[in-house]
This record gives sequence, C-alpha cells and structure tokens, in this order.
Amino acid sequence: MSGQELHPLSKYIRKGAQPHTHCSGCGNGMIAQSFLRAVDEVGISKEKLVCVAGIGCSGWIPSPFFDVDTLHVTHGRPIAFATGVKLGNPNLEVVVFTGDGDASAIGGNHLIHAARRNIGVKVICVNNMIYGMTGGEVAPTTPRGLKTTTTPFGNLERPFDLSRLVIGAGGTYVARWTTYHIAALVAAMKKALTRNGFAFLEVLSHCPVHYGRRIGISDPVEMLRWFQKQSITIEKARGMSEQELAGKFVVGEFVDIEAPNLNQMYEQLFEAAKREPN
Amino acid sequence: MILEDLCKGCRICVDLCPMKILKTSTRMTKKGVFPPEVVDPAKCTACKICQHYCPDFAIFIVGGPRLSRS
Amino acid sequence: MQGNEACALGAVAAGCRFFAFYPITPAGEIAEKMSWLLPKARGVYIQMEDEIASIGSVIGASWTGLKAMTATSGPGFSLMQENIGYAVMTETPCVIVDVQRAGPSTGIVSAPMQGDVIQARHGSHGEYEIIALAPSSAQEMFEMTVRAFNLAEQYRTPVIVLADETVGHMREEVVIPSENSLTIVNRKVPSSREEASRAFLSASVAPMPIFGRGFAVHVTGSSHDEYGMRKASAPEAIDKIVRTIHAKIALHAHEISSIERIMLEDADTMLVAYGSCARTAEYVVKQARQMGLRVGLLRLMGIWPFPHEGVRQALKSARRVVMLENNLGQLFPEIERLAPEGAETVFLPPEVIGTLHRPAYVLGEVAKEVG
Repeated sequence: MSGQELHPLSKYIRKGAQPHTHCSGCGNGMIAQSFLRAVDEVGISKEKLVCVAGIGCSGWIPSPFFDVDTLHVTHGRPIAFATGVKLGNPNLEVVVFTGDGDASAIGGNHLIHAARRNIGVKVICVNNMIYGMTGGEVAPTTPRGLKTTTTPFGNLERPFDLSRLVIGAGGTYVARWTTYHIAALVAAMKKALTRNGFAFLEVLSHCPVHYGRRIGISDPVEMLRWFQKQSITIEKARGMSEQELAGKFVVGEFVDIEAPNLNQMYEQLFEAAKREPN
Repeated sequence: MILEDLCKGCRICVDLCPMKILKTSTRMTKKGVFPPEVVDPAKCTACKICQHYCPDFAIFIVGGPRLSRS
Repeated sequence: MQGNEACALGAVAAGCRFFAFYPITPAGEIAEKMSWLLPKARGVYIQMEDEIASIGSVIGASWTGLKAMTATSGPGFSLMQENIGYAVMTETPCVIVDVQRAGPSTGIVSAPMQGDVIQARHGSHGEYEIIALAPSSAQEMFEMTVRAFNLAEQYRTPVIVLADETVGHMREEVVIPSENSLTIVNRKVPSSREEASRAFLSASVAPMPIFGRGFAVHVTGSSHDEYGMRKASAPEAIDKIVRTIHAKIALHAHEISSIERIMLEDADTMLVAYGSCARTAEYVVKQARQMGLRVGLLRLMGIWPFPHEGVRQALKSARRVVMLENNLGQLFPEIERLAPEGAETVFLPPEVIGTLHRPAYVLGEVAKEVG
C-alpha cells in the first residue's frame, strides 16, 4: 500500500477484508461507504451496531467487510433474524442488508410483517433488478420483457415497486435512491438510523455485469449516467402519467412518520403484565 | 491519496471528477488494472466526489484543496 | 397439568426469555402459556409470520445472549429445517419443541405419531449432529425442557424436544421443583475481544461472543474457520466443521442421551420404547410380570445422539427384543444393530398407526414363545 495515510473510514473495516470481492465498479462498494459515512456522522458506536445480511451480493456489503457484529443468515431471512436481535437487545442498532430477490421473493413475507410491526430494524435493500450472485436470473423486480438467463424469450411478469410494497405494508420510513445519488443516499441513511421505527431504504444499484449487460450498458460509469438520466424526483413525477413514467426511477422520500416501535410496545406490555394477577 | 492495490479500474472517479483532474493512467498495477492518476492537483477543490463514489475505498482526499497528491 | 403447559413452565424456569411461534396444532398450548408467562418475566413472546421466521428470530435473539425457544409440529418442523441447520453451523444454542402429530403432510392434527424421529436427526441438509430428547410424561415435559436448555447452552447447539400429541396433551400431576433446586447451565461468554476471536469450531465448545460487547463476531452459515471467517472454497474447512460438530456432540452421547432400565436385570424379553409408547410398554411390563413372564423395558430418554453403548450394554442378556414405535421403524434399525447375537428382534407398531398401542395386543406379542 502506498503511503501511511488511512482512509477516514478505516476503523470500520475489518482487518484483512480489503479489497472486498464485489465486481469492479459495483454499486455495493458505494453503498458500503455511504453507510459507514452515515454511521460515522450520526455517531453510532461500533459496539452497538449489528449488521444482518441475507444471501446475495448485497449480503457481502457488511460480511466480512465491516468490523462489527455481523450475522450472515439464510436466503431471504435477514429481517426475521434481525427482529429477534432487536427484540433480544433493544439497545442495539440493527441494520439489514438485503437484495431485491432476498427481500421481495423468498423474503417477502418477513419484509411486509416487519413494516407492519414497525420493529426498529433498518433495511437497506439493494435493488439491482436481477439475481446477480447466481448469474443473472429474472427477479420480481426485473422489468417486463427483459431477457435474462431464465427468461431467454423475455420476462412475462410485472415487477414490484418495492417502495410501494413497503408503503402498503405500513412502513414508517420509506425512501428510494440510486447509487448515482450518493449524497442523498447518505442523508437518507442518516435519517433511517435516527428514526425510531422500521426504515426501508431501497437503493437502486447498478450491476453492469448482470443487469447492465442485458440492456447494452456493461460499463459502470455508463450505468451510473443512465441512472442519472432515468431518475426523477417525487415532486417532478407528480402529475406525470404512467406512460410518461415508464422506465423511469422515481426517487426520494416517500414516507417519514414517527410511530411507536415494537420495542416500546413491549415495554408497555411488561409494565401492564406486572400489574396482572398470577 | 490513491491506494492502487485496492483500485479495480472502474474509472468512476475519473468520469465524475467535476474539475476533470483525474485520468486513467497507462501504467498497470500488480492487480492488472489501470488506476487513475491526478494530472492537475492544483485544480482539486477537495469536493470528495472521487472519495465518496469510489466503491473500493481506494481514493481519498488528504488535507484541503490544492494539497491532494497521488 | 397438561404436558404442553409443563413444557412452558420448564422453559421459563430454565431462563427462556424469548419465544417465537407460529400457530399449529398440537403445540398451541405451549404458546398460550408462554404468552402469559413471559411478559411477566420481561421476556418476549412474539408470534411470527411463519415457522421459518420463528426459528430465525429465535436464533437472532440467542445471539444477543437470550435463551430462546420455539414450538411446532410436523409441518412447521419441516419448514424450520434450513434454519435449524444454520443454528447447528453457527453453534447457536436454542430449543425447538416438536409436538409430533400424524403425518405426512397435514395428516391428523391431534393424533400421535413418532414420524419425525429421522427428520430430527437429518431434517436439514448436510452432515451434522443434533440433540433430541423424548419426554414420555407431563413431568418430563417440564424436566426435559429444562434439560434441553442446559444442553443447548453447554454444547452451543439447537436441541429438539421430540414430544408427541399424547405427551403434549396428557394431564398428569407435575411436581415443579423450587427455583434453587434446579440446575441451570449458562453459555460461556468470552471476557475479551482476544478470547472472543476464536468463536467457533472447538470440540470443547468455544465461548460465545454475543452481540453488543464489542467482539465484532462474524457469524455465517458459509463454511468458515474458527474465527468465523468465510472459507467458501477449501474443502478442508468444511471437513473440519463437520468433524468438529460431530466430536462436540456425538462423542458425548453417553453424557447427553440417557436411558432408563426398568426390570431388565433378569429379563428374557426386553421391550424398547420412547415417548408415549414407553407408557404403554411400562404398563405391559407390569402385566407380563404378573403373568410370570420375565419382561423388562429399556426406555430411551435421549434419542439423538443415539446412546449406542448404553443400549448395547442394556440389551446384552436379552433373548428377544421387541421395539414399540408409532411409525414403521425409524429407530428400530439402531436397536436391531445393537441387539445381542442370536436374539430375536421384533418391530411392533400399533395395530393402527396414529393411535397408541393397545396393551392387550402388545402383551399378546410379548407372551409368544421365544422362537
């Protein structure tokens, strides 16, 4: 390594875990750095942070890269495990790293219930609109018509709008940004970390190797520029028709409300139970 | 500060630098990539876009504007 | 009280402070009791969206230092297998109560069967060991649940309480021991980050670096080394994992899995049974003795890891071994293998599987001449 200077976020990186194994230019690395910046700026201590990761490239954002307690679980289930962690020790800051397939296909049930419960777990959902780790299969977030490894004739199904799904399930903090919008992403992460209840941050992440290649953009720089071009803020999108919005990514903060989180409800229950006769 | 051994040659920093002071070098690192190099350090405003966008924590600002170096 | 109720009391007495559940018959009473008891002890009762989330949240809670449990029956037990394997792989203490019912599939929700025995041992994929206890009374639902927690903490493993619908629903007198007479085992937790770094793969059980203490433990279901760091391509790593988990548990079978010998000393015919079948078997032994037949019972209390040596010793002088199981022979092959040379081995399911053996029927079989 040249020079003695350390990256300002070095203290959060596990010894020996660099370089991480994401592809060249992968959005995951950018999400990793944005998250560590948010943690640093909010002032969450490493001892309090627990990262729960699903299976998929996004799971490798914290595992083994972050030098904090890390729980890398089974496919689709990080939110369920995280619920146990947060209820087990309410003082911990529990953050889930999950992908679009992990969170909305196999893990869909856990996602909607965590939003419903308002458990104070923060979910960072890395949406590359495809199953990257396993080679590029169609996902519930893949646009209709796209040819993937398992839809060689084109995808028949409509994709989820993940943020809309979580809003429907009662999410109290729901936001979406792309890996082009790093500054907004860090700000949203800081908000998610300081909010009381469940937080869902959908990050549209460029995956040139598996997704970009399918739309003729196999260079990370080009794909970031594509995100820039295709993104539109919530305000601007208001009043635009479905057709006008086709293929566009609506980004911004959809929901931001305070509501009692599940841990608070349990505290109330413990008090009430004490008063009940045996 | 550019940590060559961590660079994967994605060129995001080169493309996004608003002052256009980064260029892909022609020198290959031992990892087989062409890292960026600073062609005009005097123009650096320490905006930290390169630092914040780098997926690999391989480039960061040391000191203030006009003090960054390779 | 009911067996299921006694199970819940045992869990709370053992220190369980997290219980996650998805409704299923015939385990519901365990959950109802836990939902009442836990909040008073500042414990969390949560009803999760499915059994997979139940066992998942149990594992998550265990990593914060809590003793955690879930309860289910066959269909839910099937769903839990992937995460049970995860708990084995990550050496996470936890307790799973499977109140077996008649299967396969939806089956009959309130009929007993012992159909999940092999599943308890090998329900998850991969090569591993598990601990499973077989209570046969309401009292044992209390005691074995306590023991399950102790074993889970001592060996850092999931432990299955393999009850069945009969044992879960039977109502009997249960003696609840006083708090200070109960032996409670707690997991070892490291006291420094240095000690915490070797968090896995010790045959003598590594201290568990629970979350929130600054240990920065890396827990993964991928193949890993003793530091928890992923070793996803070297077969040597998975070899070490498989062998260490085996050594951790299988080599301690004699300490973990108990057997009960009832009138075996002079028995020609030895019955072998576990769970609810052992109740019938014990009754038949008494009846047979009254008829002057030298019959005894070897009752299996812990079934996995299978107590080979204890069973082999106990059956040594048998001329005839008759095994009662409410299935088509899931543990019988183990008994067959261990029966003494020259002994006749007989497998005896109930006349109608999914019901308890009729004592008269068993007695008839037992009274047959030794061949």
